[in-house]
Amino acid sequence: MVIRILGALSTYLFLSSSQMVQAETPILPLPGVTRDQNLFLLSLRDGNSSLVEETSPPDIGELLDKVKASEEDADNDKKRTPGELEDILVKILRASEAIEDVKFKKIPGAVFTTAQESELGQLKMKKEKILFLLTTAYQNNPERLSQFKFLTAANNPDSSLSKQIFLELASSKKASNSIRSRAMAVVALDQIRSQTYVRDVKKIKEFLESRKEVYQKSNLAFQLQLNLVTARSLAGLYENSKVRHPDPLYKKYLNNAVKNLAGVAKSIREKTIAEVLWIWRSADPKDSWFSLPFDAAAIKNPDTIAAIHERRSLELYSKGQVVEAIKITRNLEDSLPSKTPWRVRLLAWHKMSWMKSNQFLPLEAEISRQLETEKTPERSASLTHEYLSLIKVEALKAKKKPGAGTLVIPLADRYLAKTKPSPDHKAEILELTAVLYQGMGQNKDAGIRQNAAGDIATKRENKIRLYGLALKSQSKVAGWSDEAPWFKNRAKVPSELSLLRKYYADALSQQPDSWNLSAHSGLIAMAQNEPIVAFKLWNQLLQKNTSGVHANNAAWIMLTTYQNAKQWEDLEGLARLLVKARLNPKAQGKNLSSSDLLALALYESGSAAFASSNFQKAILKLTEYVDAFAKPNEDHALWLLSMSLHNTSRYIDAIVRAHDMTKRFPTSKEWLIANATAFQWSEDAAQEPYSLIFASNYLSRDGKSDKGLALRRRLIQLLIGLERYGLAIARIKEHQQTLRLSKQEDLDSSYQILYLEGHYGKSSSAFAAAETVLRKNPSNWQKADAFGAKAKYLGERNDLSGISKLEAQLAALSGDDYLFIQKSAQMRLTLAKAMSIQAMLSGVNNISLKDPKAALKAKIDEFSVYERRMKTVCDLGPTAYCALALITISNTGAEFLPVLNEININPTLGDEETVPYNTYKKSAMDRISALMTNSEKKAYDIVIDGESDPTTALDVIWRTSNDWNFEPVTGSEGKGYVQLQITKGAN
Amino acid sequence: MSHSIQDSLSKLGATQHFSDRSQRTPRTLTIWRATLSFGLALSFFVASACVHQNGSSSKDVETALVLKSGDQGAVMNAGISDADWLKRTASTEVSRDRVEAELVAGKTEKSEESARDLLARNPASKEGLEGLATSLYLQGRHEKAAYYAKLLMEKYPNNTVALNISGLTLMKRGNDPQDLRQAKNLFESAFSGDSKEIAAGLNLGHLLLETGNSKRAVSVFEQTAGRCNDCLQAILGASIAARRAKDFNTSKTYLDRAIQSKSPVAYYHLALWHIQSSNDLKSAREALGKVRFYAQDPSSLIRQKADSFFRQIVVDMEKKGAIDE
Repeated sequence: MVIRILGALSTYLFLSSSQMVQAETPILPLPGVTRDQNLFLLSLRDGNSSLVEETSPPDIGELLDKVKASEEDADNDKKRTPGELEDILVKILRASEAIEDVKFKKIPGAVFTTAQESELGQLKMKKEKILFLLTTAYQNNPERLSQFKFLTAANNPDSSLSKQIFLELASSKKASNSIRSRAMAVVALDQIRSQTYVRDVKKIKEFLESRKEVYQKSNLAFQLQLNLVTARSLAGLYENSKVRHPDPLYKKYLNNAVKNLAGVAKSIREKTIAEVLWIWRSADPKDSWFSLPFDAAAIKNPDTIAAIHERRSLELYSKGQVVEAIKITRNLEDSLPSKTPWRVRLLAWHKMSWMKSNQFLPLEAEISRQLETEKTPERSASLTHEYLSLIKVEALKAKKKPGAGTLVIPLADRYLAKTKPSPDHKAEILELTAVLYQGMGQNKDAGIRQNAAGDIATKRENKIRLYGLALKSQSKVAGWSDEAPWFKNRAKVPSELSLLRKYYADALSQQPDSWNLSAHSGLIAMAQNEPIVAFKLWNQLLQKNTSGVHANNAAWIMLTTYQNAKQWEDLEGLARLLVKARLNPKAQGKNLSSSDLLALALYESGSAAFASSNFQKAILKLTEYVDAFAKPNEDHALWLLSMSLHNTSRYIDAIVRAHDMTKRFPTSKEWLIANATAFQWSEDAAQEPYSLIFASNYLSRDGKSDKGLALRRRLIQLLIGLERYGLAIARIKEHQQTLRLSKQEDLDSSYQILYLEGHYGKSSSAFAAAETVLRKNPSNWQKADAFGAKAKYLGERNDLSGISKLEAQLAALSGDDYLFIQKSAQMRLTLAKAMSIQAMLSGVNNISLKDPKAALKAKIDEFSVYERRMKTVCDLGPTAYCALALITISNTGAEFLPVLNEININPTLGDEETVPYNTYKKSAMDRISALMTNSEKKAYDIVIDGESDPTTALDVIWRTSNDWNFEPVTGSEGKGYVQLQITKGAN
Repeated sequence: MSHSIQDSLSKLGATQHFSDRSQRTPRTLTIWRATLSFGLALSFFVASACVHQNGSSSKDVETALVLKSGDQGAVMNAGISDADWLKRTASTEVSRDRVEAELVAGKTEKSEESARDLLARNPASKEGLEGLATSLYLQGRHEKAAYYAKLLMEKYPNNTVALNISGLTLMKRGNDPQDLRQAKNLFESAFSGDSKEIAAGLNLGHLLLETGNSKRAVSVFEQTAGRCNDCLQAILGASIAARRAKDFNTSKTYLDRAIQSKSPVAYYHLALWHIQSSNDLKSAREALGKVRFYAQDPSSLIRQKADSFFRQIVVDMEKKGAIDE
């Protein structure tokens, strides 16, 4: 920045010095600088100033055309009148003069061609011819003739002929006084001029004294000219050159010449003044413009007056009288239509004055004045630039001079107020003033200016730089380190942090991805107890960039804070981001695992969500936790997840998760409750396999508690439902082994085993179960049932002894309740069937029979025993078992009769032996037939009275009446009806 | 479906009966025995009964769906069109309706699956448990059906579906008198617990009848017939029970109504009625002839029994010299 300012300053000084040089050159032209002797002489000749007043260059072609037009035929000249010839002559003279002027570059801008030169030669010849004709024509008019001679000589005054004519005319008595005096003057002038080369001025003066008469006798014009020529000669001037040192006397002649101007035509006056000034400045260029050698009042031309004033101001300026010079120049500016040159000069002089005096206010005032009235954009821009340069130079100086900024800063502010700076320019000035503030140790003000500059700068790079400067300035004020103070003491002046925070925010607006800025900004927010703001900022940036020390530190602080504050959602979001970025922050000697923290966040937020009954959220968090991480508390997480799933009606998912938990975490504190609860879920949702697992799990650990007992009861039900009777029995036994059952339940359990074994198990197992039941003080019907089971087993083993004991035991029982009777009857039927009738129904080998009647009787006795055993069933009353017994008797009788019929006596024996035998045999067989019929009838009566079971009833009824249930509904073979209540139209 | 229910009724000669009942009582349940499946032929015979509704709108009127173990499809349906059943079965949404439709279609494994889905979504679903227990029972998985029936009763005490299935399952365990007694109690509870309960009435009536308590059976069948729009199962049961109770007039009254269905079983029991009430061998023989007419499959049980009975009557008539043809 300093270099830039220095550069600007050096450029400015260079320009200023250039302008100073320019300021020494007068702006206004002064008459007399260029002049023409010939033309002036012509004016004397004519007695008027028509020629010298022409200012524009003559058109050579046009002049020649005029000549030609008036002289169409040279041969006709002789016929012309003298007047006509005069006109032609005048024209020729003027044309030739003009051509000569051009030819010798006397008239700038005129063009002379080769053809025109040729024509000039012709004109000269023509002129000579016409002069000749006129001389002839005016032989009788000497006065007129003399005029033309003068004229002709004046046309070429330096020729010897002309000089001769002038001498002739000066002494001619025929010439008019005017011509004569003119000629005399010309001769005199020529003589004076010829004396100019004379080194000795004294001689010139003597000569002038000798020609005093001439002066006195000359007319005013001649005197004027004479004075001028004399002054010129005395001034040492010849033609346009200075040939020797001037004699101060020349000023007297100049003054005389000016005095001669009274009453002279304006044009002659101005020319004369010009000649006078020229002679003066040529002779004494160093003379003060305040010391004119003549009466300044004689100068009437405002331009000339202004030119002299300008030169006076320049003179003053050159003498160091700047104020006076400026004053005159300001007057010139005010009085003249063209302002700019004067303003430029004034500005330059002010600048020079400022550089000498170190007082910038006048210059500033001048710039302001000009700016206020300046209308051209270019000039306004230039002035603005001058203004700016002033500020920069002053700023540069102020940097070296403590305290000077207090003046310069307002200067800059005025500049900003008076100009219409672009945003970027304004920013530049603000930045400049900020430097001044810094120079004065006012960093806060500097920061404010820099930040404001950043606000208005249009280019991003400038904004960034300016905001950066601002925050550095304010950092000093706040005592905030340049390095992000992640883990150090932070602000020394906390009250200044707000402004610093704003600056960082502004800087961040331009560099939102800057971790350095974000780090500072966030740390300041934290220093102001607004960690939320900081964390939001850092989180946003971490989304884009997780590399670098700042990202690491920010992540570390946030993770730590979130964890300590139990902000699980925030922790989750950040940790997830860091896991994705594979960033595990390290700081303060502590390494953080993003993955671990993500897991922790999921676990904790899921747990919290569960606690607040936000189960959907709990599911979301915990599912990810258990599926993606293998972390501590997974058992608890799984269990919470299960319950959440269940609470959101995702019952099967809940069961599956619970199963996962109980399977993988058998040592979990919640293992038991999970199994118990999940068992209930499984049961409700008809998930039998899971029900079995959960119940088994639970009972493996807590089978003796109340809960265990209750759960086992349900498990037993389920096992029976699944027809897994062996397992059911095992569980029932386990149930009993808890020794926590009441006697009744213990008995019921044993009886349940008996029931299951009796229905679905082996007879041996049923026998053992019956033994168990009998040891537990069962009711009589249970005893009867147990006896039945035992009898069945003993019957299969043909253990008649055992059966007999059972019969005795059964006989000892008594009771009249339905179940006892039914069970007793059933048991008796079992006992009866246990008796082997194989021998009874086997045939007899008649050949080997020694005593057929004895054999027949034995068979009949066997049947009688069998009949009696069967009929003991009916001793208990009309039961289905009685009916079955009766039907069994009938059926057995049907099998027995052929056996009986096959036992024959030898027919060769006599009637006395055969007839009684056959009679006995027939009688026995009739009795058995009658028994069969009677048994069936009794059985029918029994079933008709409803004392039977469906299967027996069906059998009996069919046997006795052809009555048949074609689609039995009840009993073990029946096809029962089921019903659902449905709602029409409620789909 | 190859043909509509109406077509099937027409073939069975039951259209008029069905129509008349339907026109007379808009809330009448039309009950039929059907073999219904999608792709399987639908055949049924129909009995009708009237179930009184209590102020329900026609849209959500409750009706009974009665099914029988071993049979394909519904025994009694409640006037829901076969198209509606089709629609319900095809529904992708697991619902009670879908379970029922699959039961009606005889797809008991499907219905079990649907019922389990229902429970998986709503373990408290009564319909789910009912459907599951029913499906299992109809599959012959009686113990598991009983298990769920028990769960159902725990959650919904006195649930008639549960009571009924529990009773049936007890009987399936054998002819244990204790089980039979409990079954009867369960049927009675179900039957008395819900005035719309039909299945339990039939089960109870048959249990009474088949264990010989004919008089009580008459009463139960009669009551059931009142609920099921004089369904064949009820009135024939009432007739048989009355006959076994020697109340031949009552028996004949029900029999006459049963015979209208052209059921060969009804004609068989008419033959028995002729024998037992008046030993009218001739009329009995005629009735058995009707059996042979309506049950044309010689291998069917009804034909075998009828033929056996027929031969016995012929023998008896020969003994009596009563054969006139």
